[in-house]
Amino acid sequence: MNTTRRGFIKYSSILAGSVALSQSGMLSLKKLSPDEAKAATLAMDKYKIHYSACTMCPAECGMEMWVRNGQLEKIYGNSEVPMNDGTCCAKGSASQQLIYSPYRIKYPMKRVGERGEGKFKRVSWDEALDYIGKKLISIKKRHGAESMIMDCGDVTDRNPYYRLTFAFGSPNASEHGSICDVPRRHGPKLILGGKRIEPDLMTPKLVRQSDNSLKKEYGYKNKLIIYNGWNPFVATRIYYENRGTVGAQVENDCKVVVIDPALSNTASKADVWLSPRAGTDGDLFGAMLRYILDNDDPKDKNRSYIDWDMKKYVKGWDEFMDEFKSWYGKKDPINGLSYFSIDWAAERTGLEKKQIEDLSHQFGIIKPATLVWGMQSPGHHYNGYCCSVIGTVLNVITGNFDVPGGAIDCELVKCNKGGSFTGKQFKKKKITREVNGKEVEAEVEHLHMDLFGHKHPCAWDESVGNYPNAFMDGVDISYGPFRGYHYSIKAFFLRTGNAVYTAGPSYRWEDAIKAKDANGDYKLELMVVTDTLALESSLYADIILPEASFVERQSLSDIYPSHQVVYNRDAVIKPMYESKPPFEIMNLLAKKLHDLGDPDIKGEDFWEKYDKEEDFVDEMLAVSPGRVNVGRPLPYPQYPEGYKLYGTPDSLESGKAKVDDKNKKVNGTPLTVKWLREHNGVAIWPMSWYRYRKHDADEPNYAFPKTSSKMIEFVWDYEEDGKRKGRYAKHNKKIEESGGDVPLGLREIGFKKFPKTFFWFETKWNPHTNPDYKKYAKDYPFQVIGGKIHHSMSGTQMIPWLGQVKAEGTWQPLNEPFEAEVPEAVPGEGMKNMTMKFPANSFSVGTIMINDVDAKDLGISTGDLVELTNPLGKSTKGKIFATGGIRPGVIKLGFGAGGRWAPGMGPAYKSRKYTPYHNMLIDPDALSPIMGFPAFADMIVNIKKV
Amino acid sequence: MEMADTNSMVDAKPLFSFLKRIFIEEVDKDLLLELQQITVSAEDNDLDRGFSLVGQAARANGDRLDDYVEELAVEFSRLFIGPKRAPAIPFASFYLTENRSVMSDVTVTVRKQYLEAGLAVQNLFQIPEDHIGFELEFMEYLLLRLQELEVAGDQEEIYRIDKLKETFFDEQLTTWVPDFADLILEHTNEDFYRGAAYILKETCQKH
Repeated sequence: MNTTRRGFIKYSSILAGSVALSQSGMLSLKKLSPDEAKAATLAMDKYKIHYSACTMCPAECGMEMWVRNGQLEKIYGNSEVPMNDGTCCAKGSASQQLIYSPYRIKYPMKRVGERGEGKFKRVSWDEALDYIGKKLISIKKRHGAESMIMDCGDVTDRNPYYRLTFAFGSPNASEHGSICDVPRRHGPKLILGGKRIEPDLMTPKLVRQSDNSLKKEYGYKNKLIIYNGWNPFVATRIYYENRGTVGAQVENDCKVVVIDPALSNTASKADVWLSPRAGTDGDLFGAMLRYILDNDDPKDKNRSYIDWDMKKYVKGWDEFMDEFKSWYGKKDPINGLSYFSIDWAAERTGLEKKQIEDLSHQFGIIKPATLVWGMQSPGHHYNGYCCSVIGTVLNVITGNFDVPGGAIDCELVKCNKGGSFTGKQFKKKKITREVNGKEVEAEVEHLHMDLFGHKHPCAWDESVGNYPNAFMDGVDISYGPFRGYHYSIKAFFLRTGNAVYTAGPSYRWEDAIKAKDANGDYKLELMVVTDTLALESSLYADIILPEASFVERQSLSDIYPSHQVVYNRDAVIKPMYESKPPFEIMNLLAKKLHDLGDPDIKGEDFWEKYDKEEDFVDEMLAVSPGRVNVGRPLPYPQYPEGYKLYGTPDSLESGKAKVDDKNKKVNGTPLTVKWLREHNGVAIWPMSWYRYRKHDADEPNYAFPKTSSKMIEFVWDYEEDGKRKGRYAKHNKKIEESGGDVPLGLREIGFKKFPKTFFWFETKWNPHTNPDYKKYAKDYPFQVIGGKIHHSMSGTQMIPWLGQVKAEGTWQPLNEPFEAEVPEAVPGEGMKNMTMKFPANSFSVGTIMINDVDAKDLGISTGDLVELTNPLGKSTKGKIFATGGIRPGVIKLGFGAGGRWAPGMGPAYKSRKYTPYHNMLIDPDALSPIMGFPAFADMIVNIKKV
Repeated sequence: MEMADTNSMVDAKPLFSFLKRIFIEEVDKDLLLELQQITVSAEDNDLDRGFSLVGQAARANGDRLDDYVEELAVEFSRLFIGPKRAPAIPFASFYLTENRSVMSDVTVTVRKQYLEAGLAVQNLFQIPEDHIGFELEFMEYLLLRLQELEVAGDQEEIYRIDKLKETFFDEQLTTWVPDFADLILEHTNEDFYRGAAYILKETCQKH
């Protein structure tokens, strides 16, 4: 008998007496009946196909997923979804590595150490919900429901969290867009009621033909696309734009211009690359507008820039142009030149005068054209608002808005997924608060921390960058019925985002989350992170809840379409471990709050109303497509123009949908998840253009776009028929009703109210355009820009295969030696997973891109470790990548690629000490004045070799 | 593995009961109280070493068992769950597949083996079947079943189940569990889990 055998017997006989063990029974397995076992055996090894939507990056391509034995085995692009038209990229193909990552958040976790320490223990869902529920009830009693903020997250499917927050009684819910590109969207929002302008590149498009049939149309009509600070080959969430840009170049001889201080991937394939100073996009756009206005001549074919017919569809043309031209007479204090002149723009942008003139002329003369501006710039500049306003105006006045091959505002034309699913109606609930000794009654929404707060009362996208200040100082309500009310922020829910790392400098977030009161208790009493992967922010949570991954939950996608298209994100596999989909988390937490005595949460609004996830999605689809029957060709000639369309494409196409003349609606059969599943996962309604015109006359249809007047508005606070209209009107009204209390943001730029029409102010930390910062130019000679990296999201950096790819943002293999587990192809043995030693300079990491002449002047070269320091005394370290592909005086850091301190980030974590953390350098107090958005791209630094 | 050794393993059922209990979920006070009774006179092998550590750990913390249960729960999460990168992933697929992912062909193979014995996991497609605790519970079940069959004298079924147990032990447990145990030993200073790792390693060693 060997020793092990003897040991087995010895210790087994000791353990045999254990009551704790003998009574444990089966903990994980169960006995099946013979019939169950037979059925389970028969069900093995058969594929089932599902249609879903990717979230490996924000492009959310339509996917066809093959499942066998409960396992997602194969992933293809869904050929019926026009966004990706059947393609599936490396990120999508690597989905299983994320879904089946052993490092997922698997169970609810409760913090046992200090915040940030990263010590947790597994708890049951009930224990986690009980902890959260009791805290929330207590906080609500002491501070009001409004003291809870919900950041509903990053990767769609966030509506259940909105609903829960509003039903609980807090108006404070935000989402990823709040820290994405707020200033970029501002112009389209003011002028069109939209958000993002993109080229008409989505193919195929379903178009009504002259014989009344519908046909999928391929091909491109675009002749000029200008991408400013926009890098669709890398950073886009619009996959069709990626392939469409090349398609238009090759098939339609479309010219592509990229304006970017760095030679991005897109710039490398452009016909023209213009490389201005950082943060001067608005200057360039202003000069283009002035050039076009000054040089337009309708009688000269070569100078017929403006589509004067456009004026029929525009409200406030004269006011806007008068205000714009009023700046011509002013001299810029930084250079003594007339605003928006070519000389002025050349001085500020650093471009040559001829380059600016050529660009302006070409944009004026080549049609159809699209001017697109990006997330990084102007989206991340303090004054990006000005740029996006001028950009929108440029697209409109040149006659390019919503024409074939022109500029489409995707927000205006996408499918409505409305209904009451987000629970907006709960914000209308009447509540009372004691304000200055008086009891005041008003609605929940009047407590919104931004819309009625003292800083940015038109921040309709919420100021997430301001959250750390709110954790520390609370919220002062300065507008509306609760003016004078102050409340604290005591609970913060963060769902699938990583605010501590991304929403500003981490030190500001850490300080606020870890701040304690005089009793030694955290000021922010509750922080909950809900996610699939553990990123930096989760290390600070009191409770971490495991959310189902994107293939384990149900929702919808429709990323930036040219017309109404919506596709199903189906639950392809069961939620693994104890993760739960947002819908279920919402119901469970609602039920817990109800059971603990919360009077605002009712079963009829949650668990009784929505029995299963599909019910919830069906409610979202009940109002689809929810867009008006407008444009050329008219999508549905069988129905009245301008009526709102509801129902499945086939029910509308049949002509049998009910026309409701009273409400100007056409009601087909409501779209459902079931219908989508039976139709390749996607619903597509017909495309049209000129959607602001009547289909048979050159007159406004007053049904599109989504502004007060249903016209294109160049004025944003005006009176008509005795009514105050325009996007800023209600916000200015709040200021007037307060007796003229100017919000903090506007005070920063010397405004008293939100402007009625064209406005201009300078950005921050730019010594080339803002005199306040000229004094720093010598000591801090480099402007810092960021840029999304190819992998786009933290999750994809965690995937070994993708992390190894040398791509934009992780430009060069400049690693220090490290070990990591990676799958490798071994000759003769196939794929093998192995612990690989990566020698120095063999793995691409986040670096500091700098012009090679600048590097030479500094005596540094590629691979040198340097320290970047800003005028605020903050610094970060990284390695130099010297190249001719960036403007001198500008350096570029990959956004999210450096200084990662979450161990789950794998190789990115291992390189944290020598990869630069972009956000460390930004000014935590530079929140842009209109919407309170972090000025991510406005900073200057000096560089010292370490 | 020789058949004779496999047969002799029937006696080891309590050992598997013990191990599955340790690796499926956090330990509780009752179990620690019982483990306090284990003493080891001489440490000749990893089993001795393991039980010695487990017993000592339970006794050394005897006057603070509530706190100790909490500490062990935190360590259990750190080692096997996360949310930081857990150093000892408790799934066979992690050790046996090219991608070091979970829910692989290995999982499906294990699922089929459970089905051969008329078993399935309680929550299908959620926690992958090749979790260490589930596999240990499966061994426990097979050994129990063999004991029952021996009483009943059903030779044909004894042969089938014994073969299944042999295959599962040889082709599954011995292929990855020692590596898993080594990771625990490498990454924890907690005597209880070091002890458990030694016991696990020796129990699932190829003999």
